[in-house]
Amino acid sequence: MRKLLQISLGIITSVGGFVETGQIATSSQAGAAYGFSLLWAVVVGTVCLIFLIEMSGRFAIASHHTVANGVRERFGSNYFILTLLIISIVNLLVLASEIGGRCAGIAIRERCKFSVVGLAGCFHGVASALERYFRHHRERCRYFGVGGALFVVGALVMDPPWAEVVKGFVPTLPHKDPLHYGFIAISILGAIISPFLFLFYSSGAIEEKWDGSFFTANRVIATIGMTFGAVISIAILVLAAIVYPPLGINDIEGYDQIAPILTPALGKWGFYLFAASLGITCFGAALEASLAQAYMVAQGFGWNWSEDAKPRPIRPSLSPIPVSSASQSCRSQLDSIHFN
Amino acid sequence: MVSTRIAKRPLPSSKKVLSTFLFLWLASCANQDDQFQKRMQEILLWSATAEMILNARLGALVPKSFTDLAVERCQKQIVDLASQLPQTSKYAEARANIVRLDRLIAAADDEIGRGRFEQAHLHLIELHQSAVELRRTSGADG
Repeated sequence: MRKLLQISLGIITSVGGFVETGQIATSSQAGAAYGFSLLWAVVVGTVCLIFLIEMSGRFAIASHHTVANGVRERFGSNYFILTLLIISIVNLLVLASEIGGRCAGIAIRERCKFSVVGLAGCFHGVASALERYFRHHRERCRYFGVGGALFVVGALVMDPPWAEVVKGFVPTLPHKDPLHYGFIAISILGAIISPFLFLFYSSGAIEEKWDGSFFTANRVIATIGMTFGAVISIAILVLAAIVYPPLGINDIEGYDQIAPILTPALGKWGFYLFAASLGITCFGAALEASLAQAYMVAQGFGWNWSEDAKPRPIRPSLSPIPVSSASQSCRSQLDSIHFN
Repeated sequence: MVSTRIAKRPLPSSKKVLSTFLFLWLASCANQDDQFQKRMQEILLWSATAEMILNARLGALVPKSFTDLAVERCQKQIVDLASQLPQTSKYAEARANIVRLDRLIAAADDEIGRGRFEQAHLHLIELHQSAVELRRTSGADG
């Protein structure tokens, strides 16, 4: 029973990380510009992500260490620092886009200018990510992915031409502008395969104390969770392909254009539900990206990390530490950490 | 004899200059046409966006404040893009039609704001027809 509950929560958490601002934007762009013909890119990205997630979970179960620990142990501290640097940049960009998405959600819902809520949204996002009690938010962010289910309802209500939808799963050459087609396809893959997803997942596996009995559960969570996320992405793309081209809109350049995407299917409520689900899914993804980044730094440097751990009180120090000795200290600290 | 030989001899430098000039002129014309079509596509995209949002507002599917902000952005984009069109007489008609699109968007928005939905609906029909015509005449339909 406990395992079943963990599988369910794991699936919902996976969906929460999968559906975010990048997904919504790239799927809408693809649908508006090329109809259903880029559905295959969502499938390819999802298959790659399922493998990555499953492998990171399996690694955590087998070794009782997270991916960050494994990278540092296997390849050394220099390689880990390089990886950390690259992933930090990617996470920063993801976090910025999620905060932007959350701001757009608030701006649409609260009926005020994007720039007005921008600053407030930034503070809110950063403050949320740095909340003292991660547990509280982590529990909440499990349920954020459910907001994306609205797109599936919208796509079903619109009754798409299913034969055309099925054809979209087979990769084809575009009828126009192959460069833009390729760009959108790569954007879809980039939006789906975010490093924070599998870093967060492996951390979760350690925190939940998964043992050898969880190998099958890990496969189920990775496959079903990511598939549910992909279904939501596909629904957004299908909705965009149905709604925009007949109106003469074949490119998406902002959330002003995406905001009414659910109104043909769900009427007046569609607008508010879109704004709410945009804000909610972006908030969930922002939390996951922040936590994944914090966890990776802590795991890599051998610091204590856990949603249950209490933070150590900070003692202010007046003596400045020279940069070189700080760097040397970090390096030696990294080199001294080994698997148990 | 000498003068005949000179007359028969080709003039490589002037020919090269002429052909280069011709090539550059043709290239710039083609480039100008490409640029024009690209800008027209973008202008028609924003016009279609404004039409979608105003139609949604007409059906009370989106709130007024969102409509105002989104339509304002569409109009700003249209004006910015129109200013980037080649300023030659060849495209004067297209520029005039774009000004008309912008006015129709503003008129429809204004009528909706005043609660005269019948008038707004007529403006939106006219906007749609103008956009279709502009798309056809400018070659921006693909």
